[in-house]
Amino acid sequence: MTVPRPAAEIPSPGAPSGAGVVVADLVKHYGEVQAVRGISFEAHPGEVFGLLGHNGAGKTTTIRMLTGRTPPTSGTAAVGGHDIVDEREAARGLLNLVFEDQNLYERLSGRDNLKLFADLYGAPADRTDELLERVGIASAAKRKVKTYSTGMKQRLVLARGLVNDPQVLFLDEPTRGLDPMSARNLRTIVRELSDAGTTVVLTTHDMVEADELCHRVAFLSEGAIVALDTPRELKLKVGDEAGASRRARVVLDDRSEHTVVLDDPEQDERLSGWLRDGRVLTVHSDEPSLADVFVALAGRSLDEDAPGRTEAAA
Amino acid sequence: MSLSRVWTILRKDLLDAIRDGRILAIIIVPIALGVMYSLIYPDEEPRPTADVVVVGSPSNTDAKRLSVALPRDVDRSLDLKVTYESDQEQARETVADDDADVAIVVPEGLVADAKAGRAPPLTTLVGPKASPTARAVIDLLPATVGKLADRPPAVQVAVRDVEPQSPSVVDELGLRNYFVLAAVVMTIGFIGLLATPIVLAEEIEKRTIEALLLAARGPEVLAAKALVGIVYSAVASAILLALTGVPIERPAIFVLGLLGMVISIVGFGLCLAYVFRSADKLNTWGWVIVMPVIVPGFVVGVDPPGWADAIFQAVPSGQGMRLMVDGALPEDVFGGVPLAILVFLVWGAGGLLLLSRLLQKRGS
Repeated sequence: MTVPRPAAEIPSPGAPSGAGVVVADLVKHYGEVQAVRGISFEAHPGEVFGLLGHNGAGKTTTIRMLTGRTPPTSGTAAVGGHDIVDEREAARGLLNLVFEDQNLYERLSGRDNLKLFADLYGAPADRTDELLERVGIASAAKRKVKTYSTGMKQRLVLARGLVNDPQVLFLDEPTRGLDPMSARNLRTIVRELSDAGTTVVLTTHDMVEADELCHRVAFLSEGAIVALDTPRELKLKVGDEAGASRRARVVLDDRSEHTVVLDDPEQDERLSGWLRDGRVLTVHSDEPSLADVFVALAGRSLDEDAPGRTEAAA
Repeated sequence: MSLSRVWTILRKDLLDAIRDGRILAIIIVPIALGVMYSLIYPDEEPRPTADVVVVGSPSNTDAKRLSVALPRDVDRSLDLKVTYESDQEQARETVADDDADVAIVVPEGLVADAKAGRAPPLTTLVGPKASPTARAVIDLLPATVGKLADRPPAVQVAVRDVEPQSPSVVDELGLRNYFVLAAVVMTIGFIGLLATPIVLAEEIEKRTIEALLLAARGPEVLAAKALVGIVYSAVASAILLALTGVPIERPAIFVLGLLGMVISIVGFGLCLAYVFRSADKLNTWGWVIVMPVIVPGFVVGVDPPGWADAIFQAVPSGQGMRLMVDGALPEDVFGGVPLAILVFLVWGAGGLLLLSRLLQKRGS
């Protein structure tokens, strides 16, 4: 069961000037391929911002530009108040990225992996052990990474992303391939970061995860943002258009399932009767999921790659 | 550029790479070969030798007397071989071909003139690589002629150097030392063209370089990777030279050749990482590239055709080996330091610039 973040928790856009992520009309071409077509958005301090889309939608290219690893063709973007092109060095120290790949030095220990990046960022000496403890792999700190499980490696990748205590953290498909427990632990840490004021920009295929974690999401399709709002608003909007928002699915004590239209007085009375008689086992709203919203907006499911497009920088 | 970040990456690479069995083997094998060469080929016979040609017409009795007197007068510890030649031009060719160290042209009436106190001129033709022993023989001439004339001073000696035709590096350096230096070239070639690019290719393949480029600038990562190759090459070469005890007469020239070769080959080798982009592919196909790059270093001791020599001299291993040979000897056999530096710069700078462009293209 997902627990969407309430709208009231969305951090205020009136956060300190220049903080978070500010993207304006960002474009990236790879030869003839238009990977990103003029996207604009802001992610505020303390906000978890989701970039959702199918393979080839432009998510990874956007992250590469925002982390200073690929120059944009045009447009501007600032991270932590610093332009990613003109002030790349200043922005570099304020951001970090949790990669989708578990790109770790497998012949080194977990601690040595973290220490390398702690030294590169000039982080305090005790930062390494603190992070290993925080992500729950302190007991394996001295083991070579090649002996780690997938979940342990992903936790180490997350710890590496936190080593410089970034103001802005990008997470690229952070829970892909993780077991449910590891994924849940990672989400807990993301929430803690958000609560502490870190701007988190998350790309994911997992709509449930996005619904649970993100204050706002942007749907990318063929390099452009086709929708940007809170998950709740997006679901209600699409639900309203489909007439699904006012429906509920009811399971009774005889295991029979019924769909009730809530603004129909006759069906409303029927539901009240079941409730009075104590026959109702469960009631589920029938609003669309974020995946339904994406299909409604992009015209295809997340499992389908963009036609004729590739994630150019992937 | 932050030297601190370069050092951090370098330290990691030095420790991480040595744990990779492939890289360890690439470093150890040429060192082992060099040690094996030094054991197989014994030290050159240290006993001084000299080949002397005494030149005089068949009727020149003084020349015949001198050819008998010289071996008698030299110390017994010297190995002096004296031959008699009537044709001065033939004697000159013998010296030029390095078949003799020195030729002594004896004029008619030498002893009579010396006895009369007229200090007759005695011409010597000295070979391009005349041994110190041959020089000692020349110094001995006045005394020998004096004994024949029964009075000093005997003669005035005029020394004329003969231009070299084809230096025999192997003879000059000794087979053992030559092969050890060739093993140094092999060590540098293996480390520069295999071990170092494998370190970078593995980073590209496993995408750890993406994380590095997030925390450090491209030139810092590049400098650290180049330094890995330079440090490993320098240390491995030093170990090989220490184990074999090859004498180095002029360390400055030797180190110039060694470091120039290391830097240029490492710079070129790093480009291979971006060509292959896979440690396994590099480990398979890199060997094909190693051969043409290190062979010019192996063949400096032979006399190749002009076109081949031009190609070999355009390769860092060829120039590096030449400077190392020169540095191992008291005098230049090849010379040409400016050309060597030019070749090193073109290869090294070209490689590093190309790699820098590749990294920029990737958006580092």
